[in-house]
Amino acid sequence: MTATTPAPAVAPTRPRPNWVAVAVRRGAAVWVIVAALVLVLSVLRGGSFWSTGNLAALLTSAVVLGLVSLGQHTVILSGGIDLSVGAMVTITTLLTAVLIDGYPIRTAPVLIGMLVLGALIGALNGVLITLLGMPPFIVTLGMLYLVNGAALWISSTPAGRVTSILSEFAFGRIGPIPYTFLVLVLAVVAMWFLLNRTVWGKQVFAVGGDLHSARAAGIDTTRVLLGVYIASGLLAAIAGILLASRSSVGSPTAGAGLELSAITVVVIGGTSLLGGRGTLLGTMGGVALLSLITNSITLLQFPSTITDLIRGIIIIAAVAIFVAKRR
Amino acid sequence: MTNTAFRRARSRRILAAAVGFATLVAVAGCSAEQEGAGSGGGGGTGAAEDCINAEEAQATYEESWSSVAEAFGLSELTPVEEEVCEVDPETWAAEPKQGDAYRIAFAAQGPTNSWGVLSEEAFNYHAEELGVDVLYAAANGDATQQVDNIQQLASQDPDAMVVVPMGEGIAGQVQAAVSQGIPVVLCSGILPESSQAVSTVTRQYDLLGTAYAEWIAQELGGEGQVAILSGLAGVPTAEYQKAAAEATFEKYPDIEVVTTQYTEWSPTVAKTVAQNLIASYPDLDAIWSDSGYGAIGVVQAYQEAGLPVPPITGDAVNDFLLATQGTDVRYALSTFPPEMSSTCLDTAMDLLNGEPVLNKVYIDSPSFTNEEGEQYVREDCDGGLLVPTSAPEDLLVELGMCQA
Repeated sequence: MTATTPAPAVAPTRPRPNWVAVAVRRGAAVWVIVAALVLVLSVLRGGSFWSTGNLAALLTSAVVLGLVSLGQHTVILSGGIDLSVGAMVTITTLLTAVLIDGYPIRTAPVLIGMLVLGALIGALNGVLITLLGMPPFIVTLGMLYLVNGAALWISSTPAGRVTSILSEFAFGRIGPIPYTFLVLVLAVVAMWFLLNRTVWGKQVFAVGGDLHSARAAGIDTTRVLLGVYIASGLLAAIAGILLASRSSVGSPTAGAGLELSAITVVVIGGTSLLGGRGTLLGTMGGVALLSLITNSITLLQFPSTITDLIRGIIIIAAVAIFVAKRR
Repeated sequence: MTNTAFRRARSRRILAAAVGFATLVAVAGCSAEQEGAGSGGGGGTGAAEDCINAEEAQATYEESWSSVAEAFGLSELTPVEEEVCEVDPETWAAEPKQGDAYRIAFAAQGPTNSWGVLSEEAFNYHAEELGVDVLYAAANGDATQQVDNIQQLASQDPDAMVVVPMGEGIAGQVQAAVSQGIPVVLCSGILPESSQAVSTVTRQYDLLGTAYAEWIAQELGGEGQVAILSGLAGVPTAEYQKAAAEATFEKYPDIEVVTTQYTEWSPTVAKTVAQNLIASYPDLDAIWSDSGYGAIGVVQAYQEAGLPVPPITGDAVNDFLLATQGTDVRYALSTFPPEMSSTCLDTAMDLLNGEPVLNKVYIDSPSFTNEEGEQYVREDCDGGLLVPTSAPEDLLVELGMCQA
């Protein structure tokens, strides 16, 4: 028999916090790239970058994408995807201009009508996904084609015009801050409150994390998902109204491609495409990064042939560093 | 409990009443009259009275129509009504805002196809010749992106701005740039007058759409079945030409437009569309196409099916001429020259130098039929080149579009 000496007890050590992983989880990581890019632009083109006009252009360019991404963020958080947001922006942009057609008296009813339309399309998406059990990808893809087709049927050429009050709002600003940016700020605050301070918000995370467990826990998943798609439609409608105000006419192709940009932004922001995990801070960081990239390409006068290349590299790098690190 | 419920119900009623009242106030406070309704027609009359050098300006406009009519052998081609005037040379004359050289902002399409590449390169080439600094932004074909581009370029306070419009959605932003004191020249496209662009330099969509349709009507002797192949649904470049063609065909009661399809300006898509046409409309007498790329696909489909190619139209893409060389395909072609961007730059510079400029500069570019086609083929050049081109040869070689 051999006597065995007990191994000396090792005092438990606290694992070192991985700050990158923490930053990614909280959505702060993408802001590091944003800060780095701002630093680079300040050094290379300080005067032009920080000019009031350029800051206003930068903030304005973030508004439509920001609103659409806010809706997309909520949908992805719930485990779904909304490919119809660009089409919803298109149809609300077109109809806002066509129905108002320069008549001030129509402004208020049309704006309310557009919000209702956005909510209705969102609700239709939600109903098809929850009650008929159809996959969100297919439903919203079908809705993309359906709504785009309807827009082209309404008018295949740009049509209508908004009233001066809407145009003045779209181009108005306080210093470098456009009025429209304040709409985005309000929407972000409202969505943050809904997601983080209400029961519905907690349920969105729960449904996105595991739909079946959420259902087993007594959550009315149908109601939650309906709310998510209605919110997405509503935000897309607000984006469409603002886009029409800025364009002054309605275009049947206004929102083309926005759905992909919105998904890109949400992914860059660190939200899991599988749902249940993600922060608004990260998504808004993604919006800031994408807007900043576009702004910097013009500011630095990069050759036209490499603009998409630069955009692609930065997006992949951001996702590779931060999203991979999150796992 | 009852009190709480009562209070809640009362709060809801008050809120509903407040919202309803606010809506009523908003609606009642708004005018029932259409904004700018008086200035639509009235503005035109006013402008006619102020129209500087109207007669000479109008003559240059009509010239662009008569040259196409002559090239296509058309006895009748009436220009659509258009008021062309001279811009007051004093309004925009200015010294460079920064340094000695003018800075011209160029809100371009982006190098999304050979047309876009040549448009930008011709602009830059000419800018270098003139010693002008260029502030560049590419929209990559996206009107929403171009709205942001124009705002950002305007924030750099350039002396003038040249915009290749990607859609009418940019009109508001162009208007904002003009209000900021930047003269904007639209290039290779149009916008509504509400954009307040100072001058528009383009090949007229109405002219191309109408001339192609008139040529087909003449070829068919005013009767037969026609298919319309447009470019991309919802894109003004395609839709305006198509609308002009449809309006022209309506004048001929015995010409039936049997179908309207979109080719996305792609030979591959056009080929599939044409294969369906062959199956569905075997008696088709002519095809109105707005592009040479579309026409190439049609020619391939008919040739592969062993059928004679119906008379066809489009823009003069070198590939189309190469594909129809030595065949008996009847066609009428014209161009929407990308190198007109250098004329756009000249127009912007003329404005700044206080030279006379027209508010609408309609480019007159060569048009021809199959009878003269042989002389325009460029076997030494890329298939995507629009011919004939006025772009400098050394630039074409540098871009790899033609051999040295």
